Amino acid sequence: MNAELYPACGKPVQHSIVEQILIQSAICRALPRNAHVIMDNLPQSIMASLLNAAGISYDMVVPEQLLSKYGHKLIDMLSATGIPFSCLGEQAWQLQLVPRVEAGFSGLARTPKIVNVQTVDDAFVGLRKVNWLAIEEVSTGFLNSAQQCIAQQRPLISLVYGGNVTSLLQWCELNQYEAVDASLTAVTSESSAGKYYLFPSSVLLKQVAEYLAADETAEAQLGGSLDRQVHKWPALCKSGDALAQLTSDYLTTCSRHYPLATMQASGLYAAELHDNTEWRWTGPEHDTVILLPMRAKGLYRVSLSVLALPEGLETNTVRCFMNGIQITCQEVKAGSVITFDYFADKPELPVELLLSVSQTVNCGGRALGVAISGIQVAWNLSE
Amino acid sequence: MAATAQVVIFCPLPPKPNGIADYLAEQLPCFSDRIDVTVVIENHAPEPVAICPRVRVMRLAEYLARWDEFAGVPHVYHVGNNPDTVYMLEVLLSRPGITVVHDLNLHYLIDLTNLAKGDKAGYTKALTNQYGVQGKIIGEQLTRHGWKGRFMPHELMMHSSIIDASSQIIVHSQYSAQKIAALGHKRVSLIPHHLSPGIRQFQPKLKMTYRGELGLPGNKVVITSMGFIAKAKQIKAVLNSLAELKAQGLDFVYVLAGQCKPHEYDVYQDIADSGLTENVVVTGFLDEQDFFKYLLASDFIINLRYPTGGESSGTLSRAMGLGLGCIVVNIGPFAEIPDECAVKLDYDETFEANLTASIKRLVENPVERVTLGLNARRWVERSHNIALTTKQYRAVIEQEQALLENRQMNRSALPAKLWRYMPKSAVAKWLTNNQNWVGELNTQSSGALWWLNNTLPVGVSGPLLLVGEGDACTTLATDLFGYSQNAICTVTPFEFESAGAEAVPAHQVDIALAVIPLRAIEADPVRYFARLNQLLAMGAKVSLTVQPDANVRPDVPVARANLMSYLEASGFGVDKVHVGITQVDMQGIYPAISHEEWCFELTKVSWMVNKTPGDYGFKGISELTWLQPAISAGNGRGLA
Repeated sequence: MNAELYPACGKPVQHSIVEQILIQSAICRALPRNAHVIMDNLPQSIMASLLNAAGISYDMVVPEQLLSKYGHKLIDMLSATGIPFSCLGEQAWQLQLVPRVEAGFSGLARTPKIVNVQTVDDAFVGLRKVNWLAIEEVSTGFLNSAQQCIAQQRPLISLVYGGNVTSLLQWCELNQYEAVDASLTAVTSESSAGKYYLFPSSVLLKQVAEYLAADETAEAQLGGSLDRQVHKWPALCKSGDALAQLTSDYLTTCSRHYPLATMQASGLYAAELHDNTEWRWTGPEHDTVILLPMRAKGLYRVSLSVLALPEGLETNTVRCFMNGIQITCQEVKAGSVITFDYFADKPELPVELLLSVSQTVNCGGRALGVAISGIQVAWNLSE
Repeated sequence: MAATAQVVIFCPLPPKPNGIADYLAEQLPCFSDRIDVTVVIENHAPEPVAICPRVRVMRLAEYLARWDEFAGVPHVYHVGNNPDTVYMLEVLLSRPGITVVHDLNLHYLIDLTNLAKGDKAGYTKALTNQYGVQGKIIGEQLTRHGWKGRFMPHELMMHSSIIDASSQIIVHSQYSAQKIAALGHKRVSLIPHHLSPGIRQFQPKLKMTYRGELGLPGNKVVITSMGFIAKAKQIKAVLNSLAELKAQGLDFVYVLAGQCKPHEYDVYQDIADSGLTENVVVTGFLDEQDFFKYLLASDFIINLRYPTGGESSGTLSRAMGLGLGCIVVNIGPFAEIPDECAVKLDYDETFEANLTASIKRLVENPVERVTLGLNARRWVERSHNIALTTKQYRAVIEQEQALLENRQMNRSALPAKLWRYMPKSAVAKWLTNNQNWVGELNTQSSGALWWLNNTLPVGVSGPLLLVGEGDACTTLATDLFGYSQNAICTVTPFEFESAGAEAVPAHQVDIALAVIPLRAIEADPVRYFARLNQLLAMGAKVSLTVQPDANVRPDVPVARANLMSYLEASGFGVDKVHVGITQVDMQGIYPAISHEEWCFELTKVSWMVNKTPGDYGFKGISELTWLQPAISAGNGRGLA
């Protein structure tokens, strides 16, 4: 049993993803309709989905760490889904990703890729209005490099701060920002490092707080029912618009299905569709990497639906690794569902799901492993 | 006694049908009583079976996720010329360790990382890495015209990147040791292929029992060839000899005890053509039990390899350990078998006739084949004892631990390198802020294009090798590009070729800046550039500015295009050439440049140098030289 989800009192506490859904939904509602957001999140993330539902435009930037970790593979993953590659940093640089030259490495002849790392000021000031800067893991140095943007456009800033909270508070004081956590509790020098929201004005904070005001009577009336979540936050869930519907769906189903076609992945063929069923084959290599945006700490249940195996194969063995650790190894056949639990404790970067299939079969010139028809992630597993 | 030392071993494990997997599995019990062993296998490999319980098995994904944890632990890589060892290459090339070279020629292994995936351009780069500009030509012939000689995978060795990356090498034969030593590796250990302890459970006395179990006749001579049925095993020659002997009235059964590779060699066609359908048994892949039974059911073995990739044969060691007489080709590691322990045939015009005669002799003369087998067994028991070979492995690992203490292991296993450059606008900003200094700058001595075009990566750890005159280059490298004064090792252009060890960095460098007058290289540009190559790590970046002048009296043509060909002949890839400033000088801040200069952005791609490129005028003659590092490479090459 996980101690963080089941504290000493024995009552399950709310998964931190719920807090994030609520505050992100509230922010989407509080921002103007023509707002623009900069975020270093994946297009499959809940945040991106909420922004889409609210009709808010956004630009995605990629953390430099991810580029260092995956190299050309990351560039391929993004370009396959039409996402332009841009990085933000404390200082402007030009990065050149150049293939190694020693025989034995793959992709020796790949074209070098030039990536411009820009400061927020260089990238957006004078070009784009920024209402919300949602960047995980930043330092005060990064914030200082966005000084012009912050002074002129006063964006809301959300970040995971790992440094000394006192220095963050000093920065907020200097720039007249108010730091709160996901439950809108003010951050103090006693607060531990974590995910914070820096509000540029008390008006926006007040508006978000109003949307987040819970109707406590709903909890009393509906008890443990998942519906109580919807009734508890009527301002977020009962407005009748797409954003409310999506927020309500997340809170009641405690899960989400990822859109297969646009998943950031390598080792997956393009999506195929027949009779409303969509699937993607793994291959041609044995290993498939899928990036999952699990950016809230907590326990998740991941389910992968196996639609089919290549002709001639009755079963195939699939090993699942999360961030390199083998979680499960299952013998699958057509119609199997691979399910496993995973505790995300490092929310800074997307989680790497690696599927390794034991056999691939050449079908019409393509080496195929298994056909995946759905990826679902669920939380609040106790409910 | 508690285990204290640690080792990480990259190697496939059983049930993978691979001789190297069996080899390690046999060795592990002898290792792991004194060393804490972690074996890293492929992510999709089947669950290992019958592995010594003290050994920890980890899959590649977990190893990579725990990369830093193993930085101080000696690594052993078991490399063979087959798909089962491809998974370890990117780690091997990034984290120096002990490489056990089971097959000397790794052409097929390298081919699997590029050509097998349809990546012809990648294959060209791999050939360039091994053979320099000549390799590039061979690769381009394939890409452009589809030319690939059938000899290429056998005759063109492809192992230099693996040898170069290894801190120590283990081989099983003197032949391989000499070939690797020729590449300049100074830490090569010869450890014979051990005799499998598994043979103890099989009794040669039970030959007829095994024949009964396997359906082989008790009244005929049984001849066996083992392992993958590939063309290089010369099966066709054996079938021709056997057909001739059958016509002479000899009776026998010929067993091909191994897996077919139908895409490479159609053995069934040759069996049918030779009229030996009733005499030949093809078993397909065998597990270890059946494999030994087939061996013991045999009267003698034919184990031919031509051409050879320098591979050692574990199956041959086993057969000899079981007291079986063998016929081999007198080449490579097989030539090292004592004459009284095997029939060794030269591969020349008499080969087929001698093969037929040798088979006939052994079929007709049981005393000779038994004597041969007994000699073989005594020799293998004496020199291939597993307790002895494992002790030798332990000594190499201990030595590796000592070497590790002086080595930096900070590279990731990513197949790409991330270089950091200043943003384009940074030079203009710096110029604006330093107009007074720039106004007095003599660009003839400092060079201009290299810094105005932002050709020097920044933030590179380790020394920056600077070949240039005057202080201006140093000032630009420190003030504009942010290198610390202490990190810069300066040599003047005219002293560069003769500079002693005290004048150059102590270790190979990843970054070099050279600003040289054309006169410095007028005698022999390739010799000059090769000297630069010798100081650099593989993949190093170089910004080279050459300044022509009127006083130059070259011995060879030195136009810009000639220099590019000389640079390629010297083991460099030319990434970019600058002959002017690429930025538009809107504010009039750029210094005036009154002289001509050419700036080349280079990457070191090979140790192989062609000392007489075509532009030197020696048409049709290439003098290829595998360079020795001039300074410590942090591995087994370039040691003092």
